Amino acid sequence: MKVEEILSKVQQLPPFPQVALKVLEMVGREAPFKEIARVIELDEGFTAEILKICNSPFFGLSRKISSVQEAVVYLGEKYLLEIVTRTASKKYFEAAHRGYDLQRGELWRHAVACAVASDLLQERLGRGKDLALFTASLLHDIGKVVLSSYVADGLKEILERVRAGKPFIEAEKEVIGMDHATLGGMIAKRWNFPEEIIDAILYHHNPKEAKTEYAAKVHIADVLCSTLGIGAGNDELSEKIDSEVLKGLGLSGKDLMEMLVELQDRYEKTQSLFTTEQGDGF
Amino acid sequence: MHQIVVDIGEYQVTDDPSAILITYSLGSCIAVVLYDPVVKVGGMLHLMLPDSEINPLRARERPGMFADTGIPLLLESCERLGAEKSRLQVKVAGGGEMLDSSGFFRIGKRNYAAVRRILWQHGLMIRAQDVGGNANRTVSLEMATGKVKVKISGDGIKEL
Ligand SMILES: [Fe+2]
Ligand SMILES: [Fe+2]
Repeated sequence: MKVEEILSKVQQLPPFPQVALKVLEMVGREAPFKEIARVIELDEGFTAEILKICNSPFFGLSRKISSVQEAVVYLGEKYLLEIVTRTASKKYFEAAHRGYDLQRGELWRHAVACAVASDLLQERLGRGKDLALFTASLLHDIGKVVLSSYVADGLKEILERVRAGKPFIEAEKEVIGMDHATLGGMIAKRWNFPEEIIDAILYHHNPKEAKTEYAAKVHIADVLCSTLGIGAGNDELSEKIDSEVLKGLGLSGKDLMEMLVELQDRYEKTQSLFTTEQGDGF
Repeated sequence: MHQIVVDIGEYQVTDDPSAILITYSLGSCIAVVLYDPVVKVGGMLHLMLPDSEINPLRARERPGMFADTGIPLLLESCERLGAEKSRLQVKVAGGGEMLDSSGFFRIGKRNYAAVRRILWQHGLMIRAQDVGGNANRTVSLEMATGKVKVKISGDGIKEL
């Protein structure tokens, strides 16, 4: 019964913006950037957001940027596409999520940090930027957005199980009948995301079961953010680390520690562009 | 009463009796808190990693990231405001860890081991602590009283 109610909540989520999906699809088939820019320009909201960022004091430009085609010169293609994904995703995450003990803005910070961490991971592995991976990392905990109020209701029982050594996600499943990764996978499917993104969201805590390497990478990005405590709430430290997956990608403990420094640095730089408020006490 | 937020990889010291030092959501990071009750001088460091060898360049720019470069600076800064080492109350919180059966990462444990060693090297004894486990902690220091509070996500607030 509860599960049906949760699924009906998923139906009520506003659909993921079409432009962002279209951009993702075009990047996937390596469409020329000019075409992608034209698609973005058709959407006033996204264009406005991109121009706002371009004209922010952060870039300190002397003249005003007024088109997406111009903006790309300053932002670079990859960063511009990233802004589209971030703009599309932000509204789902921003609120407080009391089931996970997250104040307003915290889950969004976790999402952004995780996306940044996935970029760093690609660099460390000597691979190029992958917008699908960036998107999967950004959205990996989307299930929490819907599940949070149910977690809040069952929190006492969930935490009892967690204290007995159970991963948080398994406790969610036992107490509520649903966990945030499974639910996140359903949401991504409903939004018509590509298979590798759905798979990565679904298995971000159990990457061994995934069909592609995306889940393993999102898993590692998530571990890095949780280690730094960014949006770690009451649950992230009670999840498992899959060290096989870490070793499988050839990462050592030293790699991870070096990446924590890089992550904190780059995350802060990104934050100065996308304002978020501090917490307000206990 | 006003709040001074200590960001990750940073430290803050104060002699303002109306201030509260606070640092949020430590994860595997550790908060080191120093307080001299006689002059009411205190400080807090939110360190991320055990050893500046991980990135010596960053350690020079941002010593608070690492236990070995951050703790001496925190101590000196407190002393500069009039704190006396022999009177300092040292409290430590954080160093939580995810479930890791292989013990591959263990960054919380490594941080805690480094903190203990460096405090000891400086002749400082830990008076109270709340470290390790799967707990995500937020820590505050009330300057008027020296009270250190730890909030564990999902488990309420306690005084150290
Ligand atoms: Fe998760
Ligand atoms: Fe997460």
